Amino acid sequence: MFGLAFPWALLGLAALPALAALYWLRRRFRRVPVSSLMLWRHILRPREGGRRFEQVSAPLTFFLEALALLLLIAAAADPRRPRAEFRRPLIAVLDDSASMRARRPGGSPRERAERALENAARSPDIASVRLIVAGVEPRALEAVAPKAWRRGLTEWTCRAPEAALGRAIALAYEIGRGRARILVLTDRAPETPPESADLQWLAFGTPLPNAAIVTAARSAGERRDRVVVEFAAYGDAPMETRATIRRAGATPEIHVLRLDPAAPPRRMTFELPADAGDVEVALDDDALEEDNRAVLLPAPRAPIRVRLDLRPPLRDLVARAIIAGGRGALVETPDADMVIADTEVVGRDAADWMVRFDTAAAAASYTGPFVTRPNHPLLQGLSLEGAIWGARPLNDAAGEPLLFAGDLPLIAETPRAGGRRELRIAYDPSASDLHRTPNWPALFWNLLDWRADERPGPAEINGRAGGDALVRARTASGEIIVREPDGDIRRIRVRNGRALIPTANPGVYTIEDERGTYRFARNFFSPEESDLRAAFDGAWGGWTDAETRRVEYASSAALFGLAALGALALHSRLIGRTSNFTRS
Amino acid sequence: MNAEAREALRRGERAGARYRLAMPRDPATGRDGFRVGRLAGASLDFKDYRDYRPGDDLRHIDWHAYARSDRLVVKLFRQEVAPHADLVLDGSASMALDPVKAAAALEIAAALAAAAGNAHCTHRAWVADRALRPVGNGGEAPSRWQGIAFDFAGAPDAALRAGAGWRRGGLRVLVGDLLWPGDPLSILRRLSDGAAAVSVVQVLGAGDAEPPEPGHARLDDVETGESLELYLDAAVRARYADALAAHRRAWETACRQAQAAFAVIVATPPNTVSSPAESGFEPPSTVEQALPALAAARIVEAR
Repeated sequence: MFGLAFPWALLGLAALPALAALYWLRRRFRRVPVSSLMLWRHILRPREGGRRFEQVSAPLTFFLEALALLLLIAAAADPRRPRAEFRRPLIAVLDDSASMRARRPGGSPRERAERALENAARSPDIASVRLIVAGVEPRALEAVAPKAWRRGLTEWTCRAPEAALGRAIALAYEIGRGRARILVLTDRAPETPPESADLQWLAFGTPLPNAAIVTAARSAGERRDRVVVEFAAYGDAPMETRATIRRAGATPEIHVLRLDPAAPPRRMTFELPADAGDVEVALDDDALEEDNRAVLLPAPRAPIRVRLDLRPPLRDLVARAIIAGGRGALVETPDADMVIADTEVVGRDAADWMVRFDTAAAAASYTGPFVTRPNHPLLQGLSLEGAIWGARPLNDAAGEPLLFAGDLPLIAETPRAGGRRELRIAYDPSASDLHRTPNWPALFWNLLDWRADERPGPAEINGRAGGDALVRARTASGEIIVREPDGDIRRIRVRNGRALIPTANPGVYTIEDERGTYRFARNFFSPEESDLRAAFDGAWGGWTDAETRRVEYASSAALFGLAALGALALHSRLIGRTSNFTRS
Repeated sequence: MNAEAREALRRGERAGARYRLAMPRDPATGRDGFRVGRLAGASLDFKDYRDYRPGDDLRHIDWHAYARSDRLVVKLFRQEVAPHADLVLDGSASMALDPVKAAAALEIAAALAAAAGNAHCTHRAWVADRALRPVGNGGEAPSRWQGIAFDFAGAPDAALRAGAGWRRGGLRVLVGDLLWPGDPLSILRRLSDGAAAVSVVQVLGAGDAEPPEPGHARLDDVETGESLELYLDAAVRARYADALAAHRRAWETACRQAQAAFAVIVATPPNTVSSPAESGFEPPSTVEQALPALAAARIVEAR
């Protein structure tokens, strides 16, 4: 990129119109009637043996004078070109949020930003180009030569519900190590204008009115599903739009919505049959496409199958707790999801999860203090104060303790291969009253919920796009195949029976593994992105301050000055030839 | 003809009243009149004797000589003639380059016609444009002339070379700006053919005698409509003056070869004086100032 040390010298360009005016006034031909052109033609007759007469070429002299003037002005402005040894890498931070695709006359912010990126990449002081796509998480792409700057643009989809610009800029600084020029291309103004001479912030947004779906959820009841959708408007005036609800086998429902930006989001609630399939809620087209559509998939209903190998009275206590929670179903088949036993179970490997009660006679009954492992899914919501827990404490071989009475472990966990788990619970019902408190059904609800969370498939069926979706695999390792909403296929590695699937794009994701498929939906719920009133158009910061220009840029004033002298010499020669002729 | 042209003719006629057309040394021919002719005639001036031939007037037989020599001889007397002047006016559009030039040409032609009358000459005015055509009432007083117009978009040299209609043995005067290419001698030979004397009066306008002011100029030829764009500096203007002087010298030389009188008149507006240093010509600007120049060139004589 070229720079001018003295941009005010460009005011000298005002001399060009003055020069043109002078020439125009000088070259205005007076019309003079003459009796005959005979004598004038005699003057212009070619000289014998000499070169032909060349009429004074005033336009050429004008162009030479104008050129000399331009070159002198350019020399006065002291243009500076980058020294080869000071070429720097360019790191472009690209806002990948959906608002970059907002429809506006003259092109979306992304299209305009791409043009700005092209200009920056073509600057002669750029050694390489590296793109950082700032979606929910910043992603740094490979550095390429300036000519190949387009290579990473396919990653810049602008569908993310947010843009982690701050982290992306921090990453750019880290990668650049103080040598790179950082270009931020977004549609929002910076919170504080950048002070660094290495960072330039360009915003290409335009405030636009927009209506959006900001929340949608679907919960499964016993017989019907319940759907809640919230709509919001962002603009200066109330706006009217239509919400269309579509599901397979049913006529689309159209609701006319009048949304007031000053009011809270408008909520729509409706119920669906339990066997209803996917539901799509869509708004009419407006400035932003992504926030006009939400897809809600049916939530899974299958209960956890539990087989009890317990003796009374513990069997009855556990069975009542499981049935009361509604998350499990008691089965006698060997392929249960969980086996709860107080004896050695034949064929225990058939179950993934084993809960073993140690009902040996209690050595003592404990009233506390009970110490739990923080945030463990089994113990969330339990309040053991005042409870009496009679048991013979577990020994060290029982596994990792989860609950202590003082320093005596009462519940321990042993992870097994393939995502299986084994829990040991020391509990003597005859010396305890825990099963008479609300903690008892809560403990088993937690247990079944934990188990349900560990079932293969996505942890969350309907969620917000952006971030990673947790998917539990059937196997502890290997790969799963993910078909993204736009049809792309990705292979995701499974670690410890889990896979994290990036969900930058809203839509339905399909997961395939060896034994079946799962689906989950991600929707664009981002009020900050939907609110296009905050979009901004402007530029902040620059890459070159005076000191940098002095050090890293070489002055071209002398070249321009020499060129001006050349033009003046040519001008002088031309004028001299004309004068010689007229004198002769 | 408009009122200005008519008035110019009257001015010329008045100015010419003080002059008469200069006669050549060789007598002219013409109808019987008041000038001594080249031929024998009926005047009282004895010229010669010759032998009687049948048909001679018996009243001219010199009976005394017959008595002395027994030979019939007749006395010859000089013929008294009224010479004729053909006044040819350039009818091209360049003569009307400016009103002063057009008026000057008309004034000079009228003055020459008046001077011809004072020299007991008959006269006939002609306009040379596409062809040579007589001026209406061209044999009468100039103030009665009709049909003179400087509107021919071309040079009159072709008409002058054709030259039909001039009376033999008469005087011929050409009045024009002579600003056309070609050999002057061919025109003068045609003018001199059968003429007792030929005079050429070059009438130039101020714009002819002096080039335009320095600077860019688009020169429009009033006759052909062609244009020429030039930057006029001092050198170019000097070269124009040189070219004009060379053109004048060519006509002077041709006139000398054809034994014709030649004069140049620069028509400048009244009360203005052209620059002799630049133009090389005397600055008469009206017919009163022009007639002395014509007299100096022996085209007219003061009475």
